[in-house]
Amino acid sequence: MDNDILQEFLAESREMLSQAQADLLGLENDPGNAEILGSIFRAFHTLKGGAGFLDAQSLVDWCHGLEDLLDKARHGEVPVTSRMVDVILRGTDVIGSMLDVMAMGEYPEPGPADLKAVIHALADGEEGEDAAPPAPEPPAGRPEDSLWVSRRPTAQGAEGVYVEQRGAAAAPGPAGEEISQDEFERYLDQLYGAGGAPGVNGAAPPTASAAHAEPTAAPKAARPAAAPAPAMSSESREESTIRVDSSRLDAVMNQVGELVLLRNRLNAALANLTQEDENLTRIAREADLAVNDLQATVMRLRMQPCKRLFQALPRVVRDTSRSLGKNVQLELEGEDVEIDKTVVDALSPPLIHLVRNALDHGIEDPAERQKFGKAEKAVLRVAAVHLGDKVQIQVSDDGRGMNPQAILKSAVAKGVVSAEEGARLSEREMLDLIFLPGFSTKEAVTDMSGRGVGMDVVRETVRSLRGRIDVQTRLNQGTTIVLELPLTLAVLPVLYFRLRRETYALPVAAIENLIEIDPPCLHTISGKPMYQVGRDRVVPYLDLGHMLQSSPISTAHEASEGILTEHGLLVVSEALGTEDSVVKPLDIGMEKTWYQGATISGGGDVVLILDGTSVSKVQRRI
Amino acid sequence: MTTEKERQLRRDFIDMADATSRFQLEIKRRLREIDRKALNAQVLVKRHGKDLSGYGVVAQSFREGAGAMQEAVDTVQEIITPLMSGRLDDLRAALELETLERTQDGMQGGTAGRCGGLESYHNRLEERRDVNEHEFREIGNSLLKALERFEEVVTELDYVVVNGRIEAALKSGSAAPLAQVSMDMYRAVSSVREVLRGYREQIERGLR
Repeated sequence: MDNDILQEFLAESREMLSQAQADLLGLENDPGNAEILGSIFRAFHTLKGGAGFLDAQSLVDWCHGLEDLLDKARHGEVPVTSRMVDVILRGTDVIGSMLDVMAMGEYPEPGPADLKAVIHALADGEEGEDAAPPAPEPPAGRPEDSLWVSRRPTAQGAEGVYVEQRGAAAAPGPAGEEISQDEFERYLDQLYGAGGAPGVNGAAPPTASAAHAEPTAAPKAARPAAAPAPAMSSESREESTIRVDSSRLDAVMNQVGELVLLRNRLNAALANLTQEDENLTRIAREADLAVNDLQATVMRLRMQPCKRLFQALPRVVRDTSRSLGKNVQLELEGEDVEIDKTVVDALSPPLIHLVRNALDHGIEDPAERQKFGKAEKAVLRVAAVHLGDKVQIQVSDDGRGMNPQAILKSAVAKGVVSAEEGARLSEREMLDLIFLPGFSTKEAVTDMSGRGVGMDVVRETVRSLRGRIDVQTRLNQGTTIVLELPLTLAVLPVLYFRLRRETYALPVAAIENLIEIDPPCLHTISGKPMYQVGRDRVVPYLDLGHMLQSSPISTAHEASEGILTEHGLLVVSEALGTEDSVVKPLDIGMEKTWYQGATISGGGDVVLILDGTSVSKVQRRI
Repeated sequence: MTTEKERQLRRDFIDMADATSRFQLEIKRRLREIDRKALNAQVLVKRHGKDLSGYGVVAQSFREGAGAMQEAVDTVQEIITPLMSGRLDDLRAALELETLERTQDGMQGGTAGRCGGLESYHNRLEERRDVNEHEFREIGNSLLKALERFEEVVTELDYVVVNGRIEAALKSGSAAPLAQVSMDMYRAVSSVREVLRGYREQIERGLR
């Protein structure tokens, strides 16, 4: 297999498959929608063509079976039912697996025979073994005439291409027996690609493949959201878009990061000039603007809409709610909100986990909902909200909510925390127990959740993306899990601060406020130093001098300043200023340190970037 | 020179020294506060990204204003040191003169002519006091000009603060934290103005 062609085929096939899955869910709700049906049919048709070009015979056969079924549905020969959608969705899963195999440079094995048999049975108008009740309103319509192209050995043993008429008008008649040369050429093009024919490109032809050719010259254009098909992409699309390997974008982003650091150093050098040079200052400001613009442009290159992140959810909700016997309506919002590709890629599994958790733990079954006077149909809302340089992903349900006491009880029972520790926890801290490894309130382990793994992984994933996770819940009213993530991972705005003679950095996202340390506000509660902020807020007091330099900062005799974060008050010598930094990873023992990396300051010094979360963990242990 | 005048001079000096000490301590603390507020504004802007880019200019101006204030304070500080040491020297000369006059009076009972050497030293002290007084006026006027410049810097920052408050009012989504930062800055700048006005009045009294 030519690797370049394979990679392009895989990328486009996955897009098509994903769109086909979304379309299938749409078709389930609107079985009579010929446009959706046509779109799904074309997706499998195009997939089959590409697979044939790459000699992936099993994939060709599998797509053909699905295409055959869809074609019959398209012509009203078989009704579109929930059962059929279910089977085709399972068929798409098989295609996904085959694509994964191809991605490893191997040819896929034939698809599962039992599912294949069900697909064939459905195509023959039967229901298969575990037939589901038919859809209430099967699409009406008279089967139409259609032309079929198939390849099979001729009487002489050579490979032949046969075109035949099928359908209601397949009965012998003058118009059903002959097609023109032009039509024949067009069907060949559709089967082998433009100009292609058996043996022309040397590819082993698929055997016994029969593709339904569109009776009209040009197939109806797919909906705007439909995945692009190699053989059908329009010229305008080719002109305006280009596929680029994401590693190339990463390289550009890294180079821009270096440019940002240079810009910072230039600005710092200018600030240190004893005599101001107006011309130089103006040039530096223009360079500053140009670097900012370039940075923003390159960042946009990596941005992808949250639609990509959400695309798997309808299927997850459909399948999970069915298996749990729950009635759930999924609402997606903010699909157009864009976020860094790395975040989209990394967040997909955690998001699915959160959705399944909400379905399994949060949302009650219809009877229970009725008992509490709730609508039988639960609402699960997944929304992306753009907030400045962050994006919030909210997963909300209107289910039973979380009971902090029940969570604590479960955590104590599982030994996640001791009863003594538990007694000191606030309600917020009790809720946070769900993020500890090995925690689950679910008594019975199900396929969906209850194994005590997941939420800790979700939190770690979010943290690794420099984000944060929060739980908002009300008993019997529902739960919202909020993931707050940076719009981009390329640049990290930091606050530089001085700790005696050393300079450190702290991500700006972690900072609430800078405050003056007022000694009377410092208290000791249960042996832990705490600081009173305002009238009714007491936060942990964390002396970074003690932590990082083994020598506490004396607020009475040394310069001191407080950096208020969500985890507590960090005491430093002096806050110096903010800057956009580029994080350089630290090679040694990152997991054991309080640093998330290092950067180069405008002054050209290597500065360690503190990880606020790790620091707060240490604070809890003190 | 009468003893009462000497006492007044001493009282003025001590008042000025106290006011200067208070001013230095207070202004250092308030300037740090302004710089902190400016940093808070920058942190807020960085946290909100492009939405608050307009306010970013204001936040940067806050910091630049805080820097300009620090420069103004440094200038004031440079002038205060010679002013105070000049005044101290004047007091010392006045004390010596007083002692000298008492000594001369005691030695001769006020009936005979004065000792020539002492008379010459007395005159030198008088001349030294005249020079000190002249320098004190000059340096005092420089200090007043430096304080005036300081007030101009405060007014400039005040203008930025007003712009910041307008900018905050124009932002709908993030208006609350911006309005808070702007209000904090307004209070911090106002307090610097108050400290500055009190000190200036004290210096003017001392120069009268």
